Parts: sequence; C-alpha cells; structure tokens
Amino acid sequence: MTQNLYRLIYLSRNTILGSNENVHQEIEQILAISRQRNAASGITGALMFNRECFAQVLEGVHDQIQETFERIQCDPRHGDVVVLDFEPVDTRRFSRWSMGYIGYDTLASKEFTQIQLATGFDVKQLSGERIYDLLHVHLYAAEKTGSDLEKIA
Amino acid sequence: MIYNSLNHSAIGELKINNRQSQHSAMDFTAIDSPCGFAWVDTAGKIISANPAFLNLLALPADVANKTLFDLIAPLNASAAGLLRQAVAGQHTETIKLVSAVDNKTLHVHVIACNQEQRLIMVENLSSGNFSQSGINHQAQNHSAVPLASRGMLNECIAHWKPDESGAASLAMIMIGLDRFKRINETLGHDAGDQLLKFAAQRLLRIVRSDDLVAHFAGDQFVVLQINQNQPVAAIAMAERIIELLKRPFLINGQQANISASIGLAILHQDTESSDDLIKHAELALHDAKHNARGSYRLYEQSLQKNAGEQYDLEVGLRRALFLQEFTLFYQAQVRMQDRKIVGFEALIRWEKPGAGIISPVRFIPLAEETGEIHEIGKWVLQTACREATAWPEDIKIAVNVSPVQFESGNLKQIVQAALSASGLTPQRLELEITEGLLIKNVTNALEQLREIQALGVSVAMDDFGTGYSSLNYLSSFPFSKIKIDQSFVHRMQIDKSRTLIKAVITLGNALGIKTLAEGVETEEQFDYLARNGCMEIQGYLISKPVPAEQIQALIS
Repeated sequence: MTQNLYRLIYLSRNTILGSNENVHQEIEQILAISRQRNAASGITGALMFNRECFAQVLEGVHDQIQETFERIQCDPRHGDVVVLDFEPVDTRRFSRWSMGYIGYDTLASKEFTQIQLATGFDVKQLSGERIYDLLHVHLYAAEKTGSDLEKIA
Repeated sequence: MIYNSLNHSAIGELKINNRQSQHSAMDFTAIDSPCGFAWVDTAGKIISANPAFLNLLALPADVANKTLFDLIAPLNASAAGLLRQAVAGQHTETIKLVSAVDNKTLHVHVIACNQEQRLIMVENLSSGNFSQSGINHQAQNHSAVPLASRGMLNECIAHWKPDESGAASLAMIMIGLDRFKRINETLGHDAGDQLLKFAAQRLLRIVRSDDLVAHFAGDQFVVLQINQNQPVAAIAMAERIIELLKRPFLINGQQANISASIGLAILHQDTESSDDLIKHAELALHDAKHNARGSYRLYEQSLQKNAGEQYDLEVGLRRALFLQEFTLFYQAQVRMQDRKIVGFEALIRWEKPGAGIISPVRFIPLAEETGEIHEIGKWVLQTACREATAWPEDIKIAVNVSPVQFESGNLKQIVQAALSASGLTPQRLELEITEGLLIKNVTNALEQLREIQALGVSVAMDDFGTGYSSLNYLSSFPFSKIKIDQSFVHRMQIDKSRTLIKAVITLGNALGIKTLAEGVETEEQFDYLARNGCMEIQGYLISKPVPAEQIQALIS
C-alpha cells in the first residue's frame, strides 16, 4: 500500500482576499514552496486556479501524497476541500512538473470556470477525470508555447 | 504516543498536592508513572521531580536546587541548550533528546503553565511506556506526534495562574470525533489509528505555540489555551477545528470523512474552580453531540442543572420497578362499523415521588440507553397479560415493545413466560413494534418476530408514517395491523395529511392488513376515516387511557 503510486484530485475554494496582485503573490508563494517540497518527496502534479477555486492533481507514493495533503488541508488560504478522486495509478502523467500551474487568465482556467458553471458549482457533479484531462492537455499545450507556465514559474 | 499515561488513581493522587504553590520532592513520589515529571523555575532550577524523571535522565537522587541544563548537558549538549531556551520562553515546547549515556530516545516537554515555573515531562520513546496502559492500541502509531498526556494536562490546569495583565483566562476545548467508531468498524483499526494521528497533527498545526494539545481518551482530544482572551479565542479556535476536521482524510488509499463536536469550558466564566474545568468541558461536549454533531457548545450552569436532573431521573428509573412506581393505563381500540371495543393498548405511567408523572417520552429513551428497558418491558408484558385475563375473551391486549428489547435475543421466552404465567390465550396478545426495529439488523429482528408469531401472538406496525415508512417493511412480515400515527389524524384538515391517511388505508386493504387510526378526537375525523375504509380507531373520542379498575365500566 504505502509504496504504491496514487493520484489525488481535489477542489477547494479560494479564501485569499485582496487585490489581484495580492492573490498573485500568495499563489507564487504556494507554488514556490510546493515545488520545493514536492521535489523532495517525489510528488508531481498540477494546480489550476480561477479566482474562485483551486483544482489540484498530485501524483506520488501513497504515504507522500497523504502527508502532502495533510499539510495542504491545514492551509488557511483555502476551504471547502472536496476530494474528487484518490486512487492507484500505473504511471505518472505529470512527471515533468513538481507543480505545474495554470493561472486564472488562461484558456484552461476559463474552461474550468465553464465546467463549474455548467454543474452549478455542485462539486459532487464534477468529474475528477475531466479536471485531470483539462490540466493535462493544457499543461502540455502551455509547455509548447511556453505561455502559461512561464507567467508564474 | 503518551495516551492515558496515568491511570485515574494516579491522577487523583497528583491532585492531592496540586494546591501547594511550592513543590516538595515528595510531590510526585506517589505516582507510579513511567512518565517523568519535574517542576523547575525559569532559570532551570529543579524544585521537585518524581523517580521516573531521575531514572529516565540518569540523574542522581539528590537534584534539588541543581540546574536542569547542567545535569542534562553530559547526556546531550545541544538538547540542554534547546531546553534552556524553552524554559526561559513562555511557550510549550517539545524537545527530542537522544541520550549519550544509554542511547535512549526521550521526548522532553516543557509547559509554561505559570509565570514562575515550568512543568517538565519526560517520556521514553524507545520503550513505548505510554502505550501500555492505553485505552486502545492506537498509541504506538502516534510516536511522531508530540501530544500531552492526561497527567500533564491535569498538572498544567492545577498550576495555572493568570498572566500579569489579568485579562486572559484558561480555556479548555474538548474535541470529540463524531462517528469515529464507524471508521474503526468500516475501515479497520489501523485506519482508525491513522486518522487519530492525522487529526492530532492538524490540531498541532493550528494551535498557538503556548497552547497544549492532549489526547484525552479514545476519540477525544483537548486543546488548552493557556493565556488568551476568552471566550473569543476559544470560540474562534473551536470554529477553526470543526472546519478543519471536517475536511477529508486520505487513509489506506481511501477517503475518510468525520466531523468533530466541541465542548468549551473557561475558567471564571461559569466555571469557578479549575477542578471543574474538565467536567464542564465534557458536559458541554456531551450537549454539543446531543444537539447537533459538528457544532460547539460553551459550558453554562444550566448544563450542570440538566445533567443533574438527568442523573436523578436515571437513578429514579433504576428504583422505580422495585418501588412499584409504574402502573399500566389502557386505551380502548374500537371497531368502526359498530363502535365495539375490540382491544386495549397498554400504556406505561411513571409516578415519581416528588416529581409527579414523568412522561414516557422522557424516560423510555433513557431506559433504552441504560438498558433498564429490558426489565421494564418484561414487567409491562407480565402485567398487561395478567390484567387482560380479567376481560372478556374477545378483547385483545396490545403491548408496545422497544427495538432494544430485541437485542437480548430472548424476547420470545419473555413473551412465552408472560403468557403462561397469566394463562392468557396467545391470540389475544398483540405486540406493537415501530419501523425503527427493522432498520438495524432486519434479518435478526424478522426471525424473532416470526418465532413470536408462531406462539399465536400477532404483531402490529405502530406509528406508521413517522419514520421511513418503507413499503418494504410492510411486505417483509405478515403484520396484523398498521397503526396510523396520531399526528396525521390531528392534521386532517390539511389536504396532504388526508391524502396520506387515505394512501395508508388503501395500502393496508391491498395487503390485507387491518388499519387503525390513533388520536381520533372528533366525529368529523371518525366519519372521514370510516368513509375511507379505516377499520379501527383509538382516541379521546372513544376514551382516554384509564387504569385497569375502570375497564369493566367501559366494556359494559
């Protein structure tokens, strides 16, 4: 169990207040720290943000995900955490990123908002798979154009 | 890791000396605890210590007035330095110490419970001392989580003093994990252990550094806020804890969700003595759990009063049978077509000396909780059967049976004994059960019902429409009767209620089950029910419940 590869997909509500710049700074800090920590504990993944919500994918060994998630859970910058998916996987799909990021002014983030609107913000209706694919597709696309990722990374 | 490190008697002994402001070396000697305790001043001078403290740190017997850091330096110089800082500071801290002398790994906790002194507690991580006496086996898995023990908590409370400003107070936040048992049952004890560990970690992450976090009992934690403005700080913390523990946990590849209820007690805010802090926090927690899980409750004196009343009721209930304070009243059940009495429902009545008539709504749930219901239920069956033998043969007697009475598994024997002792024909006895019985362990309940039915006794479904009202229940057993709850009859002027009554009657007719409407008070209600095919009624229109002596008059 403990050494198996797992992936976690969760959503949470943003509780960072203030100006765009303030939010931006906080996110930068979140990313900097999580990239450092994730690299150390063999976690890869991606974070998407659209002002309203966070969506995050974490891939890694069960216990490391568990530990990382516990740390994330205690972060006051978000609330209403909903786990969409937590299951064993064969391979990593975000192996290039200790924490890839898709910001709120991107196409993917807008699509994320669309999905949320379509489900009436009812997280129970949101599919983990859909979030997962969205992140995956857009991270690869962004990597090619170098656009979204560079804004923060 | 240090759960339940002291047993109750040890805590009691500890308290004997709590009131002294100075500690003699004798203070702790009464405690046969594997946990080392010492009091030091802010310069680190040892005021008192128990034998385990000396033993764990390999110290000589005579340590009075010596400085702790000097004594510890040979074991581990850097830990001694950290300890010096911790003792000088105002915070609660835990320092890990690997002894150079015997290679033991120790946790040294420093607790600032007042301005002048620090409580030092030492535990041996290598031996797992604190797991031995534990409430459950959860202890060992928490070794990474530095929690205070119950003994430490008591010490800290007893020696607490307000800070110079005097504005702050001591607050106890008692946290109970709701439905924790279910996690143990469904995901296993190992998962339960992990969940406890994570819950503790979450608490430690959000408390202030001078707060104390303790594991109080199996699924209960305590956060002690040492010097903050109250009740503001405690309420804010309680809300944060509830929010945080509601968030999902990832355990053994699965998601686990729990919630937490919290009781708060604050010194000098309805709790005058520090001795009462734990008790009051527990009462508040109990109340929070009782009213709405996932909420917090601040202790107030009325809780104590309620708890006192509840206690009186409980004690009274235990004696009530012996003191013959129960009697049975009987309410007539009539056939609608000719208004003839065809049966009586037995209703229990408790007249408690000095308190008057206590409603069954109050004492039956309590009897179910304490288990007293078994004896009371048996008495009701025996008495009802005996008294019914005085009535004409064609009049039945209906007796309510609680779901709890099915738990012992010998209800059939009890029914049989009541029948043979009284000589009542089994066909005249009808048991009334509620849907609640069939929700839990339905197979076993049905099996017992069939056995009882095989004796010749009939079984009626009571209060139909108030619970889950599953059609499934009605088809799962050949019930002799469906009783339509009185709340529907009382609301008969409302269309919806009428529709429901009609539906239940139709359903009964379709399944070949008799229907009886309860709480019928007016001719208008009677007519409506009669028109729609209801077969029997019970209510004030016919008769209120009467003592056994008045039954003859009713029948004739």
